[in-house]
Amino acid sequence: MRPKANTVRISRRELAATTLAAALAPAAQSQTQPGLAKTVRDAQQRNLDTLTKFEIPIATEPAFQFKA
Amino acid sequence: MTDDVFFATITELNARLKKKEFSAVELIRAFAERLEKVGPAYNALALPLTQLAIRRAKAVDDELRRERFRGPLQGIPFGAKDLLSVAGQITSWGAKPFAAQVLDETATVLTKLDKTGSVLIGKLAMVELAGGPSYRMASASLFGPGLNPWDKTRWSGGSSSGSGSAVAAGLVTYALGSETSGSILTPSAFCGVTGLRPTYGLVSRHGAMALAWTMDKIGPMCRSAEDCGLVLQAIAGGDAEDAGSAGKSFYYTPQYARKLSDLKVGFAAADVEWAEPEMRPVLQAAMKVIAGTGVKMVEVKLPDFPYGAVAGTVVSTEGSSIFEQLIMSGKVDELADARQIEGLKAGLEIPAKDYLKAMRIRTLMKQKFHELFADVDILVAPARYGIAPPISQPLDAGPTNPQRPATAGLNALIPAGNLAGLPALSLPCGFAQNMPVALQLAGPAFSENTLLALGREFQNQTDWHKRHPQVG
Repeated sequence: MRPKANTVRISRRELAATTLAAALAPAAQSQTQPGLAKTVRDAQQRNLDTLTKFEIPIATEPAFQFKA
Repeated sequence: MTDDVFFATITELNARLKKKEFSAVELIRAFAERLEKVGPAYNALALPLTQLAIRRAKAVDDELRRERFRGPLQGIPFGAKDLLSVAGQITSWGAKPFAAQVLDETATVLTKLDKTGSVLIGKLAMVELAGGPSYRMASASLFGPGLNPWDKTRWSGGSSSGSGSAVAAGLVTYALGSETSGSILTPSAFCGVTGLRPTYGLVSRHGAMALAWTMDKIGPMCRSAEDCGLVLQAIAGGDAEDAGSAGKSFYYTPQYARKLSDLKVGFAAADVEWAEPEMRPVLQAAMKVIAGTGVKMVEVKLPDFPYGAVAGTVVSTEGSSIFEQLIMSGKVDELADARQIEGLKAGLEIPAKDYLKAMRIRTLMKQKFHELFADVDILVAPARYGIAPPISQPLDAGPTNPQRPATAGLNALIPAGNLAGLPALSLPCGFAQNMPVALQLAGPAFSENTLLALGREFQNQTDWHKRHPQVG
């Protein structure tokens, strides 16, 4: 068998489905909310608070090699 | 052209090339035309490289005529996530502010693959800036939302979206993706392909966009565990151009793999309960196959650390530092995802003490994983606990399983494995709601051959990795 040039076809139904799918995907930018900056910073602060509360031995150095 | 070519493995295609069933030029032209034609239907194609590829394929044919065999990758078409640069070509990093960026170097991994005779036929779409530090919508990409070949109304996963779609749809034989925290495993799982996240430092990142220096890895997304081994062998190795390089090579040696009956595989019973209800019987059946390979199954617990908070802090701090110029110039506002924009801005405000605390916790994680891997050789868990979500659904919509199990199981294995630099393999293991479900195997640093051996045996006993969606 020798492969010929590609003969893949996209049916009208598939094209319609793709177009619909793209239309269904809301533009990310449209998710902008007035309070988004605060929401993101609050989530970041929760992460930092979690780290602060996590107790570690005083002698623990930062990881300089990242392999297990 | 028939599906048996488009969905063939590397070794199958290479054997057919050597038997002269078709020439490299014919093969590459067929794949390249298919990628150009079908790739946009999945928002998977960033940049076709058809002319370059055909020129390269002519050279491969010359070599094959002279019986100069370079190895199993010779003449095999592949795609690369668009964070890998090709000199003189556009490298967009999936982001509007870089849509016209042309770099003058070719990524080390692409140079290495070129030397094997493998042929790059196109750059593949991705989530903008590889998704860090956070994005909310599947449409967070210059190319639009990655559409899943199994159901175009669902996401292909991120951030290596195009790599997952292109392999699943038979547009390339394999692809390169990258992972900082889940970006190979997630699209591999959602698209039903086999993906390998290598040990941190095993594969050079020179010529790749950086998102988090201490976590970024480049790895293959393929049709089988064996194909992942073949590609990893070609791209692994020390590189003075990558400060994170471990200086190690990788040789795929299944013939020397440990006997499976000598392996202990750690699992957590709670994992199945964490998964969406339709996935549970699939995962249970897959775990039985793993147990049936002769390994010894041992129940384990993941070391207790705030993995999400540590990963979030490290990626945000490093990512915002890397893109400081983009942020300060205001061009960051051109990105598609509003939360991504705010996340990058907020990351510049993380105090040094918090970043250092996160890195100190990573030291402890490393120690605890050493201890865990003294007891078991491999961890097995669901690659994802849900199937690919609809593209209209925000990615922070939360779990569809409202009843949270009492114990965490291994459900933080993706951030944990990435923070500790561990390798992992995603294996298709069935379907739920007609969408792929996958297991992940994770092991200690540089245990890729062990993971691949178990993955290969799993794939000898199942055919989930051979299923593919109807395309065209």
